[in-house]
Amino acid sequence: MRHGISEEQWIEYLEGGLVELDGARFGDHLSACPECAATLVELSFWRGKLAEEAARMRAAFETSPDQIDRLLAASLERIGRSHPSWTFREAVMLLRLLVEPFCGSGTAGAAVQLAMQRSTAHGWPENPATWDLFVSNMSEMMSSVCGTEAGRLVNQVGDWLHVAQA
Amino acid sequence: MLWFATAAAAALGIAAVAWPRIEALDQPLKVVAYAIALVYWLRISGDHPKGSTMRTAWLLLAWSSAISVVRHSIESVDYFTNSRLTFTSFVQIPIVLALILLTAALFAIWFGFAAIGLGTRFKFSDLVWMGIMATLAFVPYLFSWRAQSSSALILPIISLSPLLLSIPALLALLLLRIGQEMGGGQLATSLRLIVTFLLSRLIALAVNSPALSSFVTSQVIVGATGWASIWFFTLAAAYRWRLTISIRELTSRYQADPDTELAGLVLLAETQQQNARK
Repeated sequence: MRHGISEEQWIEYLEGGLVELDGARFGDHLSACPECAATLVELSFWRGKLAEEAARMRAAFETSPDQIDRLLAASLERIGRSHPSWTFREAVMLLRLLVEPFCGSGTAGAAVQLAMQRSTAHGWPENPATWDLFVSNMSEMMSSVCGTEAGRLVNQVGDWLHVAQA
Repeated sequence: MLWFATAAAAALGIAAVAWPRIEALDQPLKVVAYAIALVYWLRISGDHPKGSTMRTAWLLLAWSSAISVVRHSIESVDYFTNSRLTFTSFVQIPIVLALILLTAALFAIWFGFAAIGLGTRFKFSDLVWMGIMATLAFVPYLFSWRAQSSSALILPIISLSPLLLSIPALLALLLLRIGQEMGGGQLATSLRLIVTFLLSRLIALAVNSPALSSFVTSQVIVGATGWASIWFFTLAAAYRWRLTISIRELTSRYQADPDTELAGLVLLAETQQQNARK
């Protein structure tokens, strides 16, 4: 909570769900506080991006296999063109998704949690050095539970994912 | 193929109630099932780092399978030579050894998963089911105890049997809980098949008690579960090995074309995020 505004209130305000009195109070605060005004701009931007992405994915759900192939190709082109960097969080999610079909979402989640605990003191540092340690720990855990092939796969894909410096 | 073998074994077990001559196939089929499982467990253990708990678990299952092959081979020879073994005969030694190794393997699987925090939380219903299973495991023992007469050497081994039957049954529940906590995946399927093996064997043993074995229905249940249960063990090994093969194939695909594979992974992530937002 910052300036007495909770995360829930931010979301409600963006969704237009705050009751009239709270909404007016919120508006008054925003006009007086440049920090919160900047936060609102940033949140509005990301909300727009998420809505755009949601619309695109909704369309993808109603598409034929051919269209899904095209989406995949577009995604591939994006990756190839920009050599993307991932945030620590995104890269962790990708590694987790990678092993879920084999070892289960619960196992993958537990391994991620433990690997995080071992690799970082706290939080989600966007730090390539920490990423390497995380991949190594995750790989070790997957090796012990799902076999060395799983550990090798995690290592390989983990090396391939480029985590951006914060 | 293995599913077909399981169904065929169950059908043969039921048919043997009406046509006892079919029983001649029982022991040889069990030898085949355990031999296949042995090969799979050995391969699987090779896919784990040396000294790891899971490697130990799969190796113990391999040893248990190997001893079961020996046991059913002896029983097979005995059947065809018409010198029926009694309950107190020395074939109890491999039976108990296989059970000890199976129990140790199940404990090792539990420890392997507990190391990452799975299989450590229980519900009250789990305790109730554990109680039911422990009771079921003791039923055949209680009925057979009076029928025993026996040599001083074998008696202590026989007295271990109820314990060795009930512990794997209790551990089956633990594996079931771990399977649920795993949230799907090929490994969970393999664990569920081990659970099916343990439970179907327990059902066969409980229903086979003298009080129930005179009923045709119980004979049919014993026939189906008794003949098919071992194939679930083989299926569990096959599914676990399939996991290794699938991961190996995916690793090869990533080596050949990482961009395409990563694009697929990103698409999957986007789809999941979208589903979560809905």
